Amino acid sequence: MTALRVLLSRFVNLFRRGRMEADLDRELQFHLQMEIERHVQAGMSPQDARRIALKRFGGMAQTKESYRATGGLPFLETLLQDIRYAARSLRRQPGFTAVAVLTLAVGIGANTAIYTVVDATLLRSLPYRDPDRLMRVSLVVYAQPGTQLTGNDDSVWSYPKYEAFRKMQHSFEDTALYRTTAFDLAPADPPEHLLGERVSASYFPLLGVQAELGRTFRPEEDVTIGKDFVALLSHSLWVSHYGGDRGILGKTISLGQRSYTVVGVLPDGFQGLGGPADVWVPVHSDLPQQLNQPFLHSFQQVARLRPGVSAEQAKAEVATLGPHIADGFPGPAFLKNGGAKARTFGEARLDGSIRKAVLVLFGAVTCVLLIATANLANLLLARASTRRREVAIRLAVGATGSRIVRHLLTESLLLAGMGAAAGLVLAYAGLFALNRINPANGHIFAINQMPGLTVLGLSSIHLDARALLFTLGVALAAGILFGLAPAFEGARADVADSLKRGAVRPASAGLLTGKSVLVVAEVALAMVLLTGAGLMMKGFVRLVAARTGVNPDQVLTVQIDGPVRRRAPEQGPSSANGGLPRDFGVPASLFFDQLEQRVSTLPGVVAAGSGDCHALAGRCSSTTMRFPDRPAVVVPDQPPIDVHWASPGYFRTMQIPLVRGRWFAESDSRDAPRVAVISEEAARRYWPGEDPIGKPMGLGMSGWDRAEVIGVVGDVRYGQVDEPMQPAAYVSHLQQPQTRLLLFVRTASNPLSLVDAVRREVRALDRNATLYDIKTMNERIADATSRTRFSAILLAVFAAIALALAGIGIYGVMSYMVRQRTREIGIRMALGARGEDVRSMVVRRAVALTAIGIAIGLVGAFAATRVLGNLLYEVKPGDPATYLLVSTLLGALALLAGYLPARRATQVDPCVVLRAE
Amino acid sequence: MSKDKPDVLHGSLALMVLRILETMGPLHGWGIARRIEQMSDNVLALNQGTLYPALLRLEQMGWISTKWGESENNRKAKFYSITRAGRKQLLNEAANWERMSAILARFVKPGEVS
Repeated sequence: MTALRVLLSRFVNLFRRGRMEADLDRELQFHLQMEIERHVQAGMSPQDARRIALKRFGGMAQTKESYRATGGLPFLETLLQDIRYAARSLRRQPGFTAVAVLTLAVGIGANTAIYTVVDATLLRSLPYRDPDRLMRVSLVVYAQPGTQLTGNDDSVWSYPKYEAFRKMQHSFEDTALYRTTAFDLAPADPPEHLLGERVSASYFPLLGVQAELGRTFRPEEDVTIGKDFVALLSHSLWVSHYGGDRGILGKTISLGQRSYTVVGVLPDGFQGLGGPADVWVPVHSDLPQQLNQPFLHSFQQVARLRPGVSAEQAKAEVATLGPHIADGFPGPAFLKNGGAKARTFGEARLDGSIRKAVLVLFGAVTCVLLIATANLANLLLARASTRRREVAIRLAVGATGSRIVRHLLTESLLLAGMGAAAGLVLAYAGLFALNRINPANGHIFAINQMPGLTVLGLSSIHLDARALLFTLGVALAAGILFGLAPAFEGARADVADSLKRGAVRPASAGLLTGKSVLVVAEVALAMVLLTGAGLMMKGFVRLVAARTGVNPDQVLTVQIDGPVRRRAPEQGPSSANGGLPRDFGVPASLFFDQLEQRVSTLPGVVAAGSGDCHALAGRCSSTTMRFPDRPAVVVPDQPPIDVHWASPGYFRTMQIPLVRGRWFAESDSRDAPRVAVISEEAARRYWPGEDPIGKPMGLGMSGWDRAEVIGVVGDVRYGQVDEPMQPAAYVSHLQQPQTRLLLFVRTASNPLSLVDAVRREVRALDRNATLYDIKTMNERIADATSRTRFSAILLAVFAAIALALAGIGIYGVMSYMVRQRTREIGIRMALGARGEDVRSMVVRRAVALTAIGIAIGLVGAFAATRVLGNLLYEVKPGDPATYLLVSTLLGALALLAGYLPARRATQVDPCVVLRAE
Repeated sequence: MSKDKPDVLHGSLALMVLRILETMGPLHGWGIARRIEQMSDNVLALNQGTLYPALLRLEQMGWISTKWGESENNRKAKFYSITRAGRKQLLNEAANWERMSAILARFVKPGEVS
């Protein structure tokens, strides 16, 4: 208690030092006066009295010193003193301070910004109970030997296969299914489009998510088909649409064409594994026909490990069970010939390439920070040598070496602190800008399969306490890193030597002084960074230029859910091909056909068509291919083929060229013989050297055992932008009607100006059909390339910063060298050296340093860019052109940075220099 | 001031100050210093300067309090007075001191130890 009281009083004194000193002065003066008077009264002369009084007092200064030590906190006071001193000396050199703070701000700001991304995507633990025990279980489709089918080790489940797996496995205490689905929340005009999930009842308990209000699903709601239409709401939907009314429980809401009873509200922040979901319904609620189709794969599976079972054991078991899952489901062979794979959430969280992209960016900003740090160390070193006299004086009047080191370190930490503060501002601005770069609404770091696992989008990434802590750590580390060398260098100053006026030590001529090493390191780091960025940029340019096979300009694309959603549940599954009702309003099978015709007659519309998948969509439907006119092939060897449902207008609208044969026609109707259009790649691969027109083919879906090839069209890249072209077959949606298609509208002017007109046509045709996901085709392509663009732009920015910093670094060291050697240069010139001799002397040195840096950087870049590997699109990590370009760029920069000080060197007036001696 | 005057024993300065303030009431620094010298018949060599950090320490401990006032010759002076905590401390210290000096006395005159 007393100790605390003492500490407090000492601490308070820190802030009233002036007053304390004055009081002490007054008190001591009073004491002295009294003592002198006493002696004078005793008969002494005033001088003697004063002398005796002072002597008896025993040293004013010591008393004050000891009084201060007792009254305050000596450690803190020296620190404050150091900080005040540092601040003063930094203020005296505003130019130096500004450059230093700015350099640091850039380095630290970039690091903080990228760190928040890393934290959100890789580090932060997931908001579920024991997320380490959760695993994602996927079906595996093997690559087909002899074809380009790459296989998929992260594929989705059908309900029967899920049930089969669930019964077989022993590693998991429970498993759950989920599937992202779009819902239309009614009543609203137009109906509001929501993302939701169909989930098994085990989903919520498995994740450890409890309802905030009401309950989650019951197991029996999982298995009763055709009734129990219950739904759960997200917290945000509950608040935004129902005012957070607790009376929502038991009310019904209309999703699509069916009413659901709300039984619960989920806690704030829970958005489902599949993405930003707002409603949840049991997996069985509707579409019961899905549940007994073993080859209708649409569900994702998540499982929780049984206590005591390790993730490795579970992986092993799942891998063993994989080949047996499809046993008992007769069907297409290439689907049967598969396996299963389990991965932890940590592994599933980000696919490899995103993880890598994020880490590469983090590596890049670390490079930037290191360069900034090297620059600062350089600046401080240069400053330390100009301050040698100041330090020497302080040493001479009794400062200890450690005190000087502490003081100089305080100065660099103060700089680091200011840099960090400015860096935070930059990081904030940077994150804001990141959101801008990314047109896909910040979903670049979300993955196809489990977007809910990543923090969705950069918009939800913000600076928080963790980021602040990180910044603080970085600033501290940087401050010590760049401050230590100059501090020791400074404290080592030889007092006598430095105080002797004019005894300037000649600048060491060797290339390997501290400053030169720093410059070399900077150039090498910049080289690595520039090379990486160069490769990414080149890849990106190729990516953007990659042939998609369509003309995306001035095309409006709208996702449309046709009238089938209105079908009453009691009708149950109907005919085999799609289960579409023919007798409800506009025949659903004709909905898209009629819509297309109506839209294509709108003013400003050049062409309109519909299809199920757009170019660069990432993944469309695919199945196996058969050849009825050839010897039957064992089922596993049937080759794969992408299937697209399209209308004749689709090809016209997207300007996909017809190579041979004909388009679909009106006559290729539902009851006419089946026909198919194939892509050039399919023709090349499956009818090499033959004319495929008129040949029969079969597709691995019901009703398509035999179709006639009627046309060959140009290849379109439907998959990921960096995937090879896949063979594709188009079937007419008139022959197999679809419930949800994309409408493509080629327009004469701005595509988005037609949105309202299109919406009117859709409404006119069917009041309940919904439009959503309205984008131009160019936007869709930009989305598909956004991740690469994002990385490329960021890397380019970092590289530009690195380049600038390296330039400043070289410039700084060169001008310092010129300053140091002014005398030498003066003498040389007095002895007859010409301006160009001096110039070349300085430039040569800059170039030599840069050359060493580039050489080291080349090796480093060669090693480091291996990592980029599959992040690069059609660019080899060893791409010589990039290396050449980057080296040239750096070399040119070095010349420039060396030339400016060199020119100043030639302006040295020998007379002035020599007179100053 | 001769060289053979004993120094103020470590720790005893606090006791002296507290006792003086207890018996004499509020007093300024110089007065305390004079009083110590007088009480020791000018035998103790008090380095007067050391008194002030000691006073500050006592104040920090809460044993004495300070107040600016007028001195006997109408000068502004800082007056120290003992607090209640100070009195309590003084009792403890005094008891301690007596015990301690009794023990020491036995060492100084070992013959008397029975």
